[in-house]
Amino acid sequence: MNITNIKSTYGYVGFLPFAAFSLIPWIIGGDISKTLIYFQLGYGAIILTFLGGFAWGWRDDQKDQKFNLSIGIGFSLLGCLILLLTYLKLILTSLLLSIISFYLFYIFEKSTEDFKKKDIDYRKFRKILTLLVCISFLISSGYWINPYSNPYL
Amino acid sequence: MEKKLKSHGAWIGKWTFILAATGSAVGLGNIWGFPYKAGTNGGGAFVLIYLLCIVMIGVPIMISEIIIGRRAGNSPINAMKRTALDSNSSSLWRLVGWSGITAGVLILSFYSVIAGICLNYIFIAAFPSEVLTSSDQFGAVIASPLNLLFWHTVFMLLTFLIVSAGVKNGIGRMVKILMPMLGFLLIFMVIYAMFNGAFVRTLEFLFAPDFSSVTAETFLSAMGQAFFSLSLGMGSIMAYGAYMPKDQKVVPTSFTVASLDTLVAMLAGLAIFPIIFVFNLEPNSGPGLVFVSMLSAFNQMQFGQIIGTFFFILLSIAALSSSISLLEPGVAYLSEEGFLSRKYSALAISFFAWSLGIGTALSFNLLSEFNLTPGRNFLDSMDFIANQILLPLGGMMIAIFVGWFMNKELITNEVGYINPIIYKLWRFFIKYIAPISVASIFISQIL
Repeated sequence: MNITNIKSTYGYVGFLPFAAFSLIPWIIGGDISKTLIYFQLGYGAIILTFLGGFAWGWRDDQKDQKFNLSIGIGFSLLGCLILLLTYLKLILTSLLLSIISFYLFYIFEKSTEDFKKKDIDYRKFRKILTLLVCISFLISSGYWINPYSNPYL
Repeated sequence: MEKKLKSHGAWIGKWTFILAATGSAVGLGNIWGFPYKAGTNGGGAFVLIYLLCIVMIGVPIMISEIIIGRRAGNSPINAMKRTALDSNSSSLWRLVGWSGITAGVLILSFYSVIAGICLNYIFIAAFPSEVLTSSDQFGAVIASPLNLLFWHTVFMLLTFLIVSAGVKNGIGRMVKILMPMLGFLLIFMVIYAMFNGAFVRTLEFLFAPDFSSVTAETFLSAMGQAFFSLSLGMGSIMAYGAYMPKDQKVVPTSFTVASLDTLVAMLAGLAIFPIIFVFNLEPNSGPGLVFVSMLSAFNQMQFGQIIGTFFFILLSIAALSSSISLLEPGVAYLSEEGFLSRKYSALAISFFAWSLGIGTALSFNLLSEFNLTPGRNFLDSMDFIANQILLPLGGMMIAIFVGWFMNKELITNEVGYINPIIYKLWRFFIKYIAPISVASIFISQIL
């Protein structure tokens, strides 16, 4: 198995919790659905922090090194902010911020020299994965504000 | 000496065929039929049976139609004739092509009237009446022969313009615009419903499996849906297959088309029913659902004018992408035989279908009491002849021809390399399961 295949397999396995946490609330409803959305936000925040962390390390031979390092730190801080907002029960804000952050990270990664050198399969995989993660947050946002499924009702 | 037939060109890229065939398959039936059938026939249980039928009946016949069409590169009539002769069978098999083209034109004649109503409803939803209820509104629309004829003419004109422009510049170009638009509008409607509608209740209605309500009727209904929703037996897929690039794989392409068709049907359910349930409207099927219940919901909801307009644009696009596939087989035949140019062929068949459509338009009002066949008015008679007789017969004959009469070497050359187990399964389905299933659909419809 080449490295792209290994990365995409792990990537999709990593997506499974996102899918489960966003779909199960629609199926089972009730109070537990709230907890599952908290889990999704927590899991997303950890992934985002991790992504920011490895962005810090992967760009020693890049142009604009300082700027890129700041962006790497920025994404880790965004992950922390999402956790804080979730703790403060600002769930919808956290969900929307997660969608924006994951999409921005993809844009950031796409702009790097490394990404341009990657094979087409990897680039396709990153695009699909980002899309899927954003959709999973969108589905959870729908559940959170839908008046007929709101876990508080 | 064999007659030299005129060539029509080919699709550019593998996605054009997929989009065109999906456009042909996705029509009003998917949007107003599938979700209701699923919801009232056991939800998830029906969906499971339907998927099974797609794999065992729909996809095998679709593969067969593509094989015949692409191998010959001609219209369904000539494709059937050539393939039959090359398989040392009678050239009478071309009658299957004739039956498909006839069914297509008959369906187009009434489909255009219904699709014309969808076009009319774009404006009705955008500028709703403050005095009429949605039911009265629908009554007023169908009571006016001139109104119906006007929109029928507009829709037929659109269909004619696209088909007459040719395979590459007309149909190919339009499906690349229409299908992404359809997808975008559908996803927009689903997201809207997910945020505002009774989505949980819809998920239960559509997908919660209730095996206690599964009966023999459920199987027949699922088989019928799987067969009719893929535009089989009418020559459309065969005609589109004729323009498919030779290096495109037939089996995966057929599965992609069937999956997209099913996905659109499910998304349509997820877009429509959350709104219907919020306003406690009747989740019935057919025109009653979209022209009465949905309009009533749009009139009551916030931003209903915008959402409603989007919805009817979506329906019109779905109808247009299907209607061009109904016209194409006949046009391909007339033009390849050299009887008429492509433009005049399209004009002649459109005019014929338009003229027949007058009977359908009048069957809603002036001729509502007139029965063309016993107990059926003009519209019902056209529907009966095309959908209940010609299509199942055509589908069954295609399955029998490919399963029992077509030269195996011709098949394997066209299919290319596929997993031997999948090939054997397909052979089994097309030889035994598909003909018997389509025959049972046919018999159940006639009885």
